[in-house]
Amino acid sequence: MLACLERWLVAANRAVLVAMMAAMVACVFANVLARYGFGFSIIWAEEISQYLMVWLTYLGAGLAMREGRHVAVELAQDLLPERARRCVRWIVAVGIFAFVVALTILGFQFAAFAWIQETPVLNIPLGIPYLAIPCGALVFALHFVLVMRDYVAREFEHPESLEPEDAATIEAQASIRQV
Amino acid sequence: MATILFAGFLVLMVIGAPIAFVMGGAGFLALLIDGRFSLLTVPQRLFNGINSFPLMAVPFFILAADLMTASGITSSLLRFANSLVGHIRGGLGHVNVLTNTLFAGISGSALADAAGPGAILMRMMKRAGYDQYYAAALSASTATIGPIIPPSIIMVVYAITDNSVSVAGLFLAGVVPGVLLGLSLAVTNHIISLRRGYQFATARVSWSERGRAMVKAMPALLMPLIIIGGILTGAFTPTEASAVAVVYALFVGLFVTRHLNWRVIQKVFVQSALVTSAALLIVSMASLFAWLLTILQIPQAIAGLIGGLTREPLLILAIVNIFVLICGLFIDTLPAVIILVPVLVPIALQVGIDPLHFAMAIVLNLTIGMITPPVGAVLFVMSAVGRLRFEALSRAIVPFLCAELIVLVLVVYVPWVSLALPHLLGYTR
Repeated sequence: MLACLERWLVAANRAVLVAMMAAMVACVFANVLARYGFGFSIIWAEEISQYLMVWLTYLGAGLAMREGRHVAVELAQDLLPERARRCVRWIVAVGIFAFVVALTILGFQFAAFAWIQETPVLNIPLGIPYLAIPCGALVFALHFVLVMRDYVAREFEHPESLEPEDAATIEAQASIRQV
Repeated sequence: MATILFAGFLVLMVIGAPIAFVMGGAGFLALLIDGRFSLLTVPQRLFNGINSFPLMAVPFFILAADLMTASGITSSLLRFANSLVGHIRGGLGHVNVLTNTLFAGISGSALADAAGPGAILMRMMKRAGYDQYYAAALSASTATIGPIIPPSIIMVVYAITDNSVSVAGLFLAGVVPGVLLGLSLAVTNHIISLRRGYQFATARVSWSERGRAMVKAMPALLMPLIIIGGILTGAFTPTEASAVAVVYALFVGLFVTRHLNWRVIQKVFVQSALVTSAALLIVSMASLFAWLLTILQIPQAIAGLIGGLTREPLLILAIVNIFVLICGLFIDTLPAVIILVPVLVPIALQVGIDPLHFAMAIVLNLTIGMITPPVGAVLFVMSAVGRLRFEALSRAIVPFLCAELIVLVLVVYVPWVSLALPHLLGYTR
């Protein structure tokens, strides 16, 4: 049940990121096309893509944590014996969790506070872009609760390589190797 | 408040919290305990720190480079580089330098270069009989060319932090130092290869074969030209150029190399989104930290301190660069830019150092910091990818580090190196 929900959360989160990234590229590129092809510019493109980037940053943070993509300096940790290190990592994990919970609460308060103001171009409530931070922090907290044990044990999910594993690549490497 | 901010920063850093949370956490704690400001400034600063149109070049450059990688462009660059320099003594080492220099025109991040072509070349060199630590050290140092030759993520962030330089100007300024970096590493590789008797030279390749390899590599070689050309002719802003680069990379992958399909594209988009998220989260949190520094008037204090020592520009450049090098030993590149640039730029302007020249020196300096132990992000990547001991890799990197430091001295003390190209094209004051 929980595993099923977790898979759903990850899949949904990934899909949202893909859509946001694609929308950002489309907005900015469409603006270039419109300017050169049709002689006008889409005035809301900049604003919307900018807000999408903030949303993408915060909504991606949880998945990035699952894959161990948030760089940390762990030299001091490595000097500790296994038990002590796990202990320190639990402290760090709880600290991170407390911070994102605080960020969720503060973020919602701030978005509510700014709701009556409007964005410069789209004239939507300014709170909508501001919601990126609390929503992202909330999603991060969900992911983090699910993988906290793995974080402490340093067992991260490994992303697949982007290199196409086809004949051309292997051949290119082999052709240089053989001589 | 300053005490809590710095103490929090140090403690969180030492216990190994992720960098983003080190800065966000320290900033949050300082505001919480101090109590003079509303805590709502936290989300406000985090939001404003990344709500910027120029910053959008960061995700787009990451995405464009990832798409090119998934399109199989690394292997064609590799083959092209091999056809040009593979026959020289220490050949694969030179192929490593040249491939990464060419790849630098596609990618704007040293980490991407280290994990992509850097890792491939390290494995190839190891298989060919090079010492594995030597191979990893060379790959790590050539990866630092990535953010010096445009496009560059660090430069985009720098230009946002310091309004007196433009992204276009910085991109241009990076070309000559980037090539110098490549040359210095090639020379180092050559000397060491001679001394250790590394042979492994492939046969010289005919010019017609080189031509064919170049045609294959053309899509990759054209990309920096489109980006830089587009920006310089005023056709696009840097952000637009990066979005055009994404569309170009999609085109190449779908219709030229045909490695991209819907499944691969989704995978690339997710990965780029996560890399972006990790990078921009640091930028976001660091801007909270940097804002607190301004509130505490730390930049003025440090400017006064250094300004009180001397007003001689050459000496100031030396002091500032040594200071940045030391910071670079411990702090990651992006947060270092956001925290240090507002502190240091006023000092440079005061004594009349050209902001673009200064920017180039700082960017190169902090990039070199990525291969300096104890905290060198690129070294971490290489040791993880090659399963190598960090200490031994740190020793193997020393000759290359020295070569890069010589280039840094050149960039710092010969303004022409960074300013000639921007000057020629009218991008200086």
